[in-house]
Amino acid sequence: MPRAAVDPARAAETKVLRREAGRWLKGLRESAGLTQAELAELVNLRYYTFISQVEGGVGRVPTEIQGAWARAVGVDPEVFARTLLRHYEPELYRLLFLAAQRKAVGAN
Amino acid sequence: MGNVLELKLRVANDWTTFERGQLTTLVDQLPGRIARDLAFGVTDSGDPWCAVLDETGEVVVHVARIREIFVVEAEDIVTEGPSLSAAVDRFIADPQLRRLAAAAAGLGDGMPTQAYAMFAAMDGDMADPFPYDRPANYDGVFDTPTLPEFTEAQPSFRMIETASMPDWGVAAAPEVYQAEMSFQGGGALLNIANAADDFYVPMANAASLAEPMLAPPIPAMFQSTSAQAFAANDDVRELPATTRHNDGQTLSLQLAKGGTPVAKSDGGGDVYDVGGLSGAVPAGGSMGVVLNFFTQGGSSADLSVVKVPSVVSPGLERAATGDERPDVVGTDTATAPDGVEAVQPDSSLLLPDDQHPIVLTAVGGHVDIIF
Repeated sequence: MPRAAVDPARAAETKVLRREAGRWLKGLRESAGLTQAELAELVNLRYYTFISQVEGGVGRVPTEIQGAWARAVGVDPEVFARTLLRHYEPELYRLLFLAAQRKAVGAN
Repeated sequence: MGNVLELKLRVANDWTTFERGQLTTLVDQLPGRIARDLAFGVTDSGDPWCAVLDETGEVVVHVARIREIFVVEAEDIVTEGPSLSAAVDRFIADPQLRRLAAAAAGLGDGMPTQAYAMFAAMDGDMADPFPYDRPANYDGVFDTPTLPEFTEAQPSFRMIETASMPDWGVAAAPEVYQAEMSFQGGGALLNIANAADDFYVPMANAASLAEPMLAPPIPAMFQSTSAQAFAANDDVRELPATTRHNDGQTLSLQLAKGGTPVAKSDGGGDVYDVGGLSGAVPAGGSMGVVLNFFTQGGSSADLSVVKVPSVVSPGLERAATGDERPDVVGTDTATAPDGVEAVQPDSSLLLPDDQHPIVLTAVGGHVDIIF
């Protein structure tokens, strides 16, 4: 299926969110006392440079290693995944969680 | 005596300017226009990395120098090398890369089984492979292929193709599939490559995919069908519709002219069924078949273009590219009577002494191109 044209505004927002996520990830790792190489080993990454890339706000943490990543830095995997989703897929995050929250508030 | 200061040298370990240039080149080499941007960084340990990004900002290729080992990674493709160019070259040569590009371009599963273009993208000096839809950044320069030396004992007309094509995951080949080759005046040596590695792309994407395919010298793609020799001076005969894979073995046919037959042929007008293209070209679209015909000594070769009955004019044009005589365009388009799938060529194309590719391009209509 052909890809839709890229919206510049959305692309800029994506870049900002990725950087935020990268800083958050870097903070978690440093708080856990891990080097980038050590974290890469814990999450079974072939090249540790990928850690630096993601922490730099380029790319995203693959879903399949988010659990291991969270455990490596001592964070609840659900919180970890949800935080990353908020940064990587903000629209999906809004649909999944914010709408549900509003419904819950309305019901109360 | 003053204080002694400890001097620490910090080694700048970022990408060098030269390496950055090489990385930029990598972007240009990636097929399917999947790469749009580069991002650079350095790890806490000082190893540099580079991310090749697509138009959405997602990383499609990760490149790094880790303790003097260069790595290039994209999904399942991982290459390493002692130099950046070595790692990149291996990466670019990886057959999975084109499948990756196809996926990135939205091709792959669910592609129509009809209307494929088969590109026979050859090595060679193709000055204008697709005159109707030339890639924007095509500069008309290709590396000259390495061909075996001619000797007097060898035929004067030569066509060499080898195939080593990636798997794009395309399910089906064109339904109609036949072609013939006719030589007159001189022998011919024809190598038919492994048909199992043929390469098909949807017509609609043919033009865009032609660019990455043609960018580096890519081995030929060729669908072989049954090789069949006819008696001397025979017209083209109806050929079997089934394709014949040669199981990776090179199939060599040699035609002899006026001398000792080296194959089944013994004279001019012989016809060999070697492969070809058939398909519907969408309005405004194009499909191209590029074959290199190599000649020496001004040998002539008959190239016939045959329309399938009951179809509209295919609008075929022929150009001998790389030729100083662009008007050496053949006019040997023949109309096949009803029920006849092919006819004898009605003209011949005199090729110059040097090696020149011939490009046939069909725009619109439904055509069978027979070489």
